[in-house]
Amino acid sequence: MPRIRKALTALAACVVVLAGAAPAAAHEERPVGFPDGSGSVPEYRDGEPDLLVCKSDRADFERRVAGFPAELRERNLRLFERCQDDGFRHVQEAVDAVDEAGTNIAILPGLYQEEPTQHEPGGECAELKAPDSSFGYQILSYEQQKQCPANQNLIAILGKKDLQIEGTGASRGDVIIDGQYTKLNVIRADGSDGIYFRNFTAQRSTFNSLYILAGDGFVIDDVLTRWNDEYGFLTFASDHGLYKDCESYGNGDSGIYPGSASDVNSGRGYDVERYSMEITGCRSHHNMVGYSGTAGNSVWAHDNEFDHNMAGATMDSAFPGHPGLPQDHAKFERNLIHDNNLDYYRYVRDGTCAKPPAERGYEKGVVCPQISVPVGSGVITAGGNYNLFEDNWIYGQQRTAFVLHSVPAFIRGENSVGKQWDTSHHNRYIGNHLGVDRQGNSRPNKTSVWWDGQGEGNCWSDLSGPSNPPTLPSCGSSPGEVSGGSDRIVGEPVKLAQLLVCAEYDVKARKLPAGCDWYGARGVERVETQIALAVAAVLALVGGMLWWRTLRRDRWGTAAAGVGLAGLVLDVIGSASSYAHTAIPPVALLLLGLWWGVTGWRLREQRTVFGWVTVGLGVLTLLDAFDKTVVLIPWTPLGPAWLRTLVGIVWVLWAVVAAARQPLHADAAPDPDVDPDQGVNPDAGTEQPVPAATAPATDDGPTDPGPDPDPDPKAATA
Amino acid sequence: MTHRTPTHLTPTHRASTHHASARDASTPRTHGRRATARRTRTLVLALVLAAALTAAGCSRPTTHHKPGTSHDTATGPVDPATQPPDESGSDLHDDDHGDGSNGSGAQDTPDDGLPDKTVRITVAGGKVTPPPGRIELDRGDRVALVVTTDRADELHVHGVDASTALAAGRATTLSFTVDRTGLFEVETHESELILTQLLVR
Repeated sequence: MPRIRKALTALAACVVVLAGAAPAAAHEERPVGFPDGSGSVPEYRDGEPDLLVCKSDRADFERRVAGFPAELRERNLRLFERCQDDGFRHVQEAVDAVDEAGTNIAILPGLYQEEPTQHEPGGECAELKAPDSSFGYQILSYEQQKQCPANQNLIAILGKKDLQIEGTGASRGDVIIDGQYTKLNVIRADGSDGIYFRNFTAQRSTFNSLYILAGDGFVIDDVLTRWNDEYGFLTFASDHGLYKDCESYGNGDSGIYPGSASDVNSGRGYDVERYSMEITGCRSHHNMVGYSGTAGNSVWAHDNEFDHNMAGATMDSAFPGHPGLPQDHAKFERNLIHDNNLDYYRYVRDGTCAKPPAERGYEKGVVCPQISVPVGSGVITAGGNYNLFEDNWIYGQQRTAFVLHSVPAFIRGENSVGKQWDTSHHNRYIGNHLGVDRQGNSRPNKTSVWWDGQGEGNCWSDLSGPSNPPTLPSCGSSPGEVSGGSDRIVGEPVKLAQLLVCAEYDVKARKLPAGCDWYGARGVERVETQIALAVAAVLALVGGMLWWRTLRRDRWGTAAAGVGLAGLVLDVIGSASSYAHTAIPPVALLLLGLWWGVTGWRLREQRTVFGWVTVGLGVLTLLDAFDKTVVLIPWTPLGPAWLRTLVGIVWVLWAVVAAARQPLHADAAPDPDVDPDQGVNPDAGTEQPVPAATAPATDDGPTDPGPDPDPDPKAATA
Repeated sequence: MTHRTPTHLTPTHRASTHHASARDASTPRTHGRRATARRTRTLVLALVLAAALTAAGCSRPTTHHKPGTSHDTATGPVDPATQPPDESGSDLHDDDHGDGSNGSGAQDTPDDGLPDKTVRITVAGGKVTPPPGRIELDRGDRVALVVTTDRADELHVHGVDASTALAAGRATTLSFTVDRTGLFEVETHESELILTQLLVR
């Protein structure tokens, strides 16, 4: 059947090709490895600063410090006097003057726009030979950054050891370093171990406000970053890092991004030696996501708030070029993750994000989401292992509290076969407070968990609210204890289809995949419902034909067909997002399983092998219902939904053949249209051979119709 | 066997008898094959349709590296932007004193969770800036009071009975909803200053 083969090949090719499409690279940088881990988290140094940065407008300065507490005001006025004599007017100048480790730079209250480094580079720096990233800027080597620090950075700190940069204002809003969208980074600290940033604001870059790269030992203390194309804080390929009491908002990707945090627990199981990154007391809000951890390994995030973003926090293994993949060993404790339901895709749709960054209106609350995100999710793990989520408050989420799914390794550019299924495993969700805030007010989430069903050793306990799938493995008291678990290598087929469709987002092309409810698709627009409708149409057609051709006079067969039809209807209804986590999908599976089971049973006399296959399909479908409602079926590398789908495809083709074939005359019930004495009734809808019992009932090919009822009188003599 | 054009292809074909006529015109074996072929074709079409429907989720493949939004740097001047952040909507710094009411989370516009009125007051050296006045509100309004003081104190809003500790040298936000009408004073307990009055209708 060439056309069927063509259709199926096209479908298979489509799936393969889609699976190969990777989501956007989150950022591009020269290749870097992790530091050797011999550093440590720097301590704050009190006392008189070594270098000062201030402006010279005395009246402006006095106005700025007028509201300060007395002692602080006095200190600032004194430092201002000193700064007029031997201080700098721009931060970069002070950084350039650092010539020994352990220097303290103090920035006095004011607005710093860094005019000397603000402009486009000229001369040699305009002609550097370096590869272009897909974002349009060049990927410079460390030497090139040193040669031309102002190409991509308003303030570049390169190779300075144990440097401390601190604002001296009453709060971090008193010292503002403003990139004005003239540079990729406002502040870059590259290969500068032991750096300590405190008490200032860095804002308005076309990439990151504060970028720490390849640093062993850093502290971000009471710093605000805001209004960037991508990240507020990006700390990459670094170790011994601490963020405390920080804030970030208005960023197109995430406020806090500890990407490729040093992978110190790689290869370990549940026991953690130490964390390479600690993030505490920070609030990240009104971004695409509050926290993003591509290869956010060994990060301990506790007592933070991620609220009013599109999604609260994500960690993933979905982007190439990040050392330390797959992501592992993050620990999220006592965080407040709530009300992350904002739909910033509207700014992509209406063209706001197609304008240059300076014109998009970030300061007025516009956010241009860089990648695809399921809006309304609390914490997303898209390919990660050994992450622990404990004692967090997650509330007010209009999609779900926790998302977990796998990402095959080729998505991140690793093609070796053994790695393809190296996520998502051993993630533990215990003791979280879902649907309530810290005061105990009820703030429910729509669902508690959305899981694709893949992976080993994942478990959830202490949930509140329905989950999708309804049945989940649960955690025992110690790490590694999981009951009702499974170890599937692939997630559920419909969920995978949805993830593939949703990953097609492209902000530059303003492409918001129409079948994905992350971007506003509802009801029949959603790919889950479209798949359910297509499957229901095919099954109704094929099943209906089968029933008509073979079982329409059979009481049980007809009853089964009715049940099957009801099951198909419920299957379509259950694909809607309002019902996907309810009892409707498993009930639909139950009805379909009964349909196939009874139909196959009734058919097994007419078509033995086909009948048993049909019964088998029914059993698989009932197993799927069991898997979703009672307990996950352990050990199987593919869930019953996959087996059911594959057998179902075979069954559909076989049913077509079975229905189309000449029925055998050893029927379950005699055909009233056949009068054994008179031969074929010309008005019959079926054909019966005449005379009655000539051929035995078999399942191999068309039966011999017997002698020609109207022989050509000439034939006998030919 | 003789071959005759099945009558269902001739102009005089009548639908109700086409089966019978065709059947009469040929042997059961060839008729059976043709019928099978017809049905198979129908089913193939149905399957192709189903595959097409399923493949509606498929679209053209994208390249491996998708650029994000343009990262064009600004060449001309940009408006200044030095406003402090809005702390309403945060539950992070709730303590026993503050009621920290957060409003709803049930909207999906970027104005989600913002208060109806934000009031900023600074207290320094016993002086209140702006000078105490009267702020008019409607019942049910969400209010965010952002107070900066030079010494530790306690902020109290009468009527709604909301209060919070104030740390020296920092801005503290107290968010609440005015759910009763009346005239309510906002004061600091230690320094006994009246910061402003809320007139709720």
